[in-house]
Amino acid sequence: MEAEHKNKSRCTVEADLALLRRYQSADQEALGVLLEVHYGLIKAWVHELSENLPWVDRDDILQLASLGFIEAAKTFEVLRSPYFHWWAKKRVSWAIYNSPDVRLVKRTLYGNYSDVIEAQEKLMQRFDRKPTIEELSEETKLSVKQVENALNVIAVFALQLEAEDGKPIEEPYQIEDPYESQLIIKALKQLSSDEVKIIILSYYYGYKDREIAEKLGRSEDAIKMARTRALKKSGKIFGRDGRDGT
Amino acid sequence: MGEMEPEDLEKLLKSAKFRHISEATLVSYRDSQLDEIAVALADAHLRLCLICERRLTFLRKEAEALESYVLTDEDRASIEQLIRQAKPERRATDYISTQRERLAAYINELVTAWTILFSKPAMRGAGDGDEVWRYESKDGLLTAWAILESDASLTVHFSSPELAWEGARIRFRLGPFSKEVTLQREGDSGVAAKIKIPRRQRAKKMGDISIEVV
Repeated sequence: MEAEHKNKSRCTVEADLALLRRYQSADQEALGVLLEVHYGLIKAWVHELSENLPWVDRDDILQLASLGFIEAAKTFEVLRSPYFHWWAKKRVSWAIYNSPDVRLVKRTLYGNYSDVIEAQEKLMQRFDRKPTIEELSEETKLSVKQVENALNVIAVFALQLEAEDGKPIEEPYQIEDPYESQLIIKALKQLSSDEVKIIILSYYYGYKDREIAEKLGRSEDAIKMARTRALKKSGKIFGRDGRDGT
Repeated sequence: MGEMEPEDLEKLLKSAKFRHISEATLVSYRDSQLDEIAVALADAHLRLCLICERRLTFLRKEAEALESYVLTDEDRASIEQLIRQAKPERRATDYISTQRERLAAYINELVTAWTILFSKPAMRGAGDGDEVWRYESKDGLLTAWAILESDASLTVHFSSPELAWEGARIRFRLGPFSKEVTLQREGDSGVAAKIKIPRRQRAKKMGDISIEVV
């Protein structure tokens, strides 16, 4: 019979860092707590992956994931980053994808994964909306199930693959540049709330000035003027704080 | 200090919505820690991107797993096993192996001392029971000496106060002569072993020696 216990500790960034510091100072008990607190998370990763790697024994994946997690706890640089989960996920995915059972098919998995990402990039720009699974399937020539699998694997963790020469392959998609994102947000914060709406509707949602005018109950000319003024104000922020201006 | 041209800014804003959201931003989005503008920008990308939408869905599952997962006894047993694997307990064999390496380091020094002294033709002692060679490690933990006996055989003695070396096997070879001995306890004072090399088997070249801990 299986008794159940409530987890005593909660997972917070601060609690993780405190446990990691203790473990890295050779406190094995801290590792126990760290594992207990994150075991649900490790199991969630394993559950999701097991669905997509059905030929691999789930217990084996759990073992690999747990060992990868311990490796992450050993190697995480506490002083450099506060976000341990991201690092743990990387180490766990590395441990799983380099295991003999998964390694064999890793290139195929990676091929599907790259194709799906590439197709998604293309279709979202072409349609200016989210592509459907069927559209991705048609674009990649993969089955709907293969596309689903690839999307799920990407969602859990990006595959990590090395090229033949041992060098890591670059991610086939562009992640936001946090610095640039911060600058955009900073620039938008200098604007009036109407100007922010106009910029977002215009550039992020692709609305025409006429459509924005209808939404906001203003004239098309007023929207155009406000948009130009907003761009000018934002441009100053980029000039002052952006790469060119610093 | 220049400002960004409106056309360049337009281009940047138009392309920004296609950039995938970083994990840190997605986590903040999930945890409702973004301000209104950051949420609006994230929403604009999520509207377009199936990948980030799935990533967000999975991050929500992660949060739920962290929040609500209840450890079972089986989980606890697995965790205990993992901790043991992460830092295996010191087993008797590890201890023996470490002690063997330690003894071997002393023996290597001893062999060097022997080789230096005997790198000349075999010597005879001045008389029966003469000590022809002696070695003592700097810390006094290993002493060895060789006695030329009255029957012209050579006896090599090893002695140490280190009780942890009890039972260690030493393979001794001098020229054609070879023998293995065990360091045995001598009361509470330490361990010792001796090897007798008969006259006929004594090496002409006394420097041709090897001693290994096996």
